[in-house]
Amino acid sequence: MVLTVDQSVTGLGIACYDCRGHTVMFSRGVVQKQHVGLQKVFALAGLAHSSLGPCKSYKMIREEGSGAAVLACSCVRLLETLELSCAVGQLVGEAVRAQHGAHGTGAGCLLFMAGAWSRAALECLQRGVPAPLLVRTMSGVGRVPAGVRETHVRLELVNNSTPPPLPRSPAVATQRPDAHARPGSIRLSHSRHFGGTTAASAAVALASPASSNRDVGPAARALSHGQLPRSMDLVVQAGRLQSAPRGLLLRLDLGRLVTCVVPGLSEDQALRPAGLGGPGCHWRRRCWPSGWGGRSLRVVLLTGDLCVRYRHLGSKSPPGLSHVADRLAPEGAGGEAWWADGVLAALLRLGVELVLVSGAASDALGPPCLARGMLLVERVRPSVLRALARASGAVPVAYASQLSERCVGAGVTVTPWRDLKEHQAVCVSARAPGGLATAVLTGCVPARLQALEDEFWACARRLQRALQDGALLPGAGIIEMLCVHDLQEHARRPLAGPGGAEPEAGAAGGLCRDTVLMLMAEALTDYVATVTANSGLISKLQARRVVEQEVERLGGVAGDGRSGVLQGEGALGETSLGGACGVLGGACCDLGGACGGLGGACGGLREASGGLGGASGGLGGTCGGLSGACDGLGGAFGGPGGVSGGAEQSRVYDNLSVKVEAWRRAMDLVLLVLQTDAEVITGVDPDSLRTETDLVLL
Amino acid sequence: MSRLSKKSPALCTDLPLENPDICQKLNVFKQLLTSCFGPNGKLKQVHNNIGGHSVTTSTSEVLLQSVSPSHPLLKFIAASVLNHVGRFSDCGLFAAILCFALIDQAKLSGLRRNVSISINQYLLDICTAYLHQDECGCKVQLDFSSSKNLITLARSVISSKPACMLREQEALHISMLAVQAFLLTVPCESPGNVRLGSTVTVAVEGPPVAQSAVFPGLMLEIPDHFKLSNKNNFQSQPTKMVLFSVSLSGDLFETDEGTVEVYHGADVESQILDQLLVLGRCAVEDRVELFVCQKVIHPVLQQYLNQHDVVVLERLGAALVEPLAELTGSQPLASLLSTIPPEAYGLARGLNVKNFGSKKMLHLEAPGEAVICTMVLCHRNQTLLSELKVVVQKAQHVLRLTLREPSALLGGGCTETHLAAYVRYEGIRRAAEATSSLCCSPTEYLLGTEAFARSLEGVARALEHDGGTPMVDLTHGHHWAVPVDETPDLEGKPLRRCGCGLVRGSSVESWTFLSTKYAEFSPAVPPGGRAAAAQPAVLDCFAAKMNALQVAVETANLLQDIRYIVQDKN
Repeated sequence: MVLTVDQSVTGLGIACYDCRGHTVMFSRGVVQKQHVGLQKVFALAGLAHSSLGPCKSYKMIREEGSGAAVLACSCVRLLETLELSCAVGQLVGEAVRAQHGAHGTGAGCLLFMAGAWSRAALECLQRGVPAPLLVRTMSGVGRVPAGVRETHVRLELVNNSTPPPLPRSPAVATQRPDAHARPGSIRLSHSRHFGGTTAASAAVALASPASSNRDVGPAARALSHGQLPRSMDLVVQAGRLQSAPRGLLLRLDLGRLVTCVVPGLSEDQALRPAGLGGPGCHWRRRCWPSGWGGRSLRVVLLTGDLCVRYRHLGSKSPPGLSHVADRLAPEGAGGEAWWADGVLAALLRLGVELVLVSGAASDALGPPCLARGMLLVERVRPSVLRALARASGAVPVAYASQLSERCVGAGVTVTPWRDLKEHQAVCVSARAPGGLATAVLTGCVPARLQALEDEFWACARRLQRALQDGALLPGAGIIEMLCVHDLQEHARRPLAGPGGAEPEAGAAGGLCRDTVLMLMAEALTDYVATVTANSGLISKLQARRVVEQEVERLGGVAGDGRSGVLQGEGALGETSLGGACGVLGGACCDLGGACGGLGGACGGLREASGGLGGASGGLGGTCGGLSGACDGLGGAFGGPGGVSGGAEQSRVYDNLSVKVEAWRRAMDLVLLVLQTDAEVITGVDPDSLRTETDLVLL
Repeated sequence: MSRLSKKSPALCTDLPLENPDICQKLNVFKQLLTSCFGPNGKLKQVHNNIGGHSVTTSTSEVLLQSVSPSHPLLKFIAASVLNHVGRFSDCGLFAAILCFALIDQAKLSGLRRNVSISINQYLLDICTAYLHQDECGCKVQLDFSSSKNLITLARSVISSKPACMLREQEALHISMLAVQAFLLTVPCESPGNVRLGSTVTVAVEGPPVAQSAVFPGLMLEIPDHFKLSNKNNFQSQPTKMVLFSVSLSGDLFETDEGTVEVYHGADVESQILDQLLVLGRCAVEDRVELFVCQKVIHPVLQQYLNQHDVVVLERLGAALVEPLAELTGSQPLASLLSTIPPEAYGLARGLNVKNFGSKKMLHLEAPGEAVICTMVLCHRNQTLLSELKVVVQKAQHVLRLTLREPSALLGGGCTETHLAAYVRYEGIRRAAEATSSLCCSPTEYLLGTEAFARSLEGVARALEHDGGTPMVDLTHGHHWAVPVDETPDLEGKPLRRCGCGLVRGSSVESWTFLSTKYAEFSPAVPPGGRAAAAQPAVLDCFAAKMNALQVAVETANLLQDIRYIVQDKN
């Protein structure tokens, strides 16, 4: 066993090594006497910088040995591909995975904030802030998320064209708690894992059932975060399909939503099959049983593979089994053909016309089935199978030998969907409303397909989460700026508050606390500036200045007295501000759309210019509560396109719970690493250690 | 002959504690454990050299289990600490730190080994006797009529592990759950010999800590698509159930090395399946409504049972078999009999499905009084969750130990400093008697006493990791920690509260720095200190600390007694 003590490692650069010993990444400027773990987090978070905001840059990861390369389009995929094996790398990977698993989005924000707060912590340590005080203050900034919660906007307000009520600075919110700002109930028990075989039991509906959320268009656009609009459009369409036809509530059940990725077609052909969608399963053979046009079919569902060797999980035959015979075995008995005959006979006896298999189907079964007018579809997702089971009354079974009259369902129709050369797909729909929907994602660049699918699911998760929370957070950096302002206020405020937070801390403690708060605020500023700079419109330095001005202005507004904010026009007179807002919001709104490029240049342009205007409207409105005035301003600053009237539609919003959770996880990660002082490596060969002088073998 | 390799001679180390190489190792190991101690302790990341799973922890149990030192002396220390933790859960780091401190202090004092050993043993006896006395100043009687002290005890354990990453409210919530779970495992209706029940811990990653909860009965994880049919009436009447610990997947029995010859054409699998179906039919005829198996159930059997409205639950896991059998009164069946003996059936009540984050669970309750409960622990990620699970189990064990000895020791380093003050005072009072019985000179005895007291104070000092100043008051002998950003003031401004929170700064006249010499005094009991009404903020488990004290002293004595280490190098 080897022990390295982290506190005082010297060096000019730290390197994260993957398990083969290849350096995957460097970071410069490491000063002596610093916390190596925090430096690692900071360095790793550098990866997230370019994948933040609407304008993401992809990264190519190449393996030296085989020369194979992967395109990583998000930091989740990036970390997945890197397979970091160092202890801090594992912690970072775990945090990102947990966030992605629970929410499907927000991982980039988490990674960035972890990095930024690590840097803040490093800076604090360097300035001599004692570690326990640092931990206490940083974890005490649970206030940031608490403040964030107060500033959310109800979903209906986003969807209606009326301007949203201004989110108030957290400090204000604590003074005037507003009962209406809280959604009826936020059900947190329904976070479910992305894309897996999770069931579809928990369809999410809006918290307050009285109001309609059927028209989620504006909210969906606000949540698309600059990604191609059609991903979000597909999600909204799917939601409409899954909801009751004339119901008030939009339901989105991700368990019954499947994606079907088809390479080879151009991207703008991404579409949903018409009608109630079905599993987009490829059927390779080009024959179609005649006379099936919309006829109700008898269906059986199989949960395993449909082949002779398939055995259910947990069943294993012992090695010591041998077959003996006193004469030659009869021809074919026990073989695959013999088995296939048996299955076919059983299917024919039951009058089955459609067989859906969750695993693979034996090749010996396909042609004879088709010849007898039976369609065999393999690789159907388990969640789809269960949804069809509910809709058709079929009972899924593991083996063909289990099939009986009870297991056969009815009322399922099949239509050939589209002839895509090798990728011929069928569309299976049930007469009963099963709520199944398939999104077909096409793209002519195979490497981008993964990104398209990820993007679709990110949009779906965001919209689902928004419906679940019933509330949204103003995006485009507004929340961050409010928090920056709040933290700065707290730092400037004298410590002797009512029931002061840390009465036992002396003056020195107070100073240290202020340092911590200011540096944490700095980290948030950095986040907004990076997102803005990533848009490519202005440099990071400019972006930072804009953000600082904006925060200062918030301070001014706050200073004017809270009541004045509601009507106060004065604060918005500043013209530079409108421009800044436009840059910020516009960047977040639609640049991604523009980047997507292929999605129709004209549409993108219109959207982008509208977005520019609208964003300034959104930002100004949410900051100062003057959205009406702002829209005018936005039009003025948005250039010619700002007049197109798209202003209201393209505000940017974030998910309430996702952002809060991402920050919290980032904080957990930083605190965990901050409190770690040593890394112990076990299973080291003593002989290999002779050269390493700073390691101790226990 | 070329195949014979030469035997290398055994390696013998003389006086291992004086060998600089071994001393360095001991020192690093000491730092490793000491830096983990207390609520401000530093965490350790442990992983293997090929990039395996990394563990982040500061609990002695997890740390010592994952770090396996190769040097025999370190192995010995690790083994005695692990053994202590295995029996008492708490105070593992205390034992390790005290052991190291005793070795260090003995070396510093320059005493002969046998003298130092006998003095340590003598002083240990004084301490043990004092701690068992009723008028002991660092002991609090636990009051079982109120849960307050129990919660404090649990919270001291839980909040002493920073890797759980709990906010104050969350720590309180978890402590209350621990106490609630403990109370649920105490039977209230059975007279005579009382047998405590057990708590099953289920960890769920994702939901916030505040969603953690305790339920009477058991929570069994079920697949996502599991559904209770409406036909059964689970709420009003008890459900008859059967539990199998043998696999019902249709496997052949283990043949070990022999082979089974099967006549061609005979289908072994269908034969076994038939046997399984006979079993299923028997269960259905006996009106079983819940069919549970530790391992896999053959899909055909599942289908058969489902058709007869039997709730089927497979892959229960070995850990849950015993609690489930105890809860329902059933006997786990370990073989495929064709009939199920009637006494094997059990009863369960109130079946319902509960959701926790992404997990779905079936909740079962006992037909009668339940002494089995389930604690569902939620946390944001796996690292935090695994530490939380360990810590909560520790807290529950500590709570159970209070039944054996209904008292607790003051935490926050106060017991250690108090005991040190007592050892100085009482040791010197008994000097004449001790020197004659230990056959040592008075000087040696004084040196030994000072070394022992300083070792105890060393443990209190180990609570501080960031440059703060540990102090001790000269009235009660309690431990006071001055944060690094404050200058300690010996006369002027009094400190606010001592480490355990029992003594207020206003009731103390003078302090001194820990590890400076002070005139020995008899440490006074704080006003109302022993009463059950006293409310210290930090409490330690009495039984665990008592045992840890003995383990530390005995381990240190044994280590000092080692003259040679002989290692076989082959």
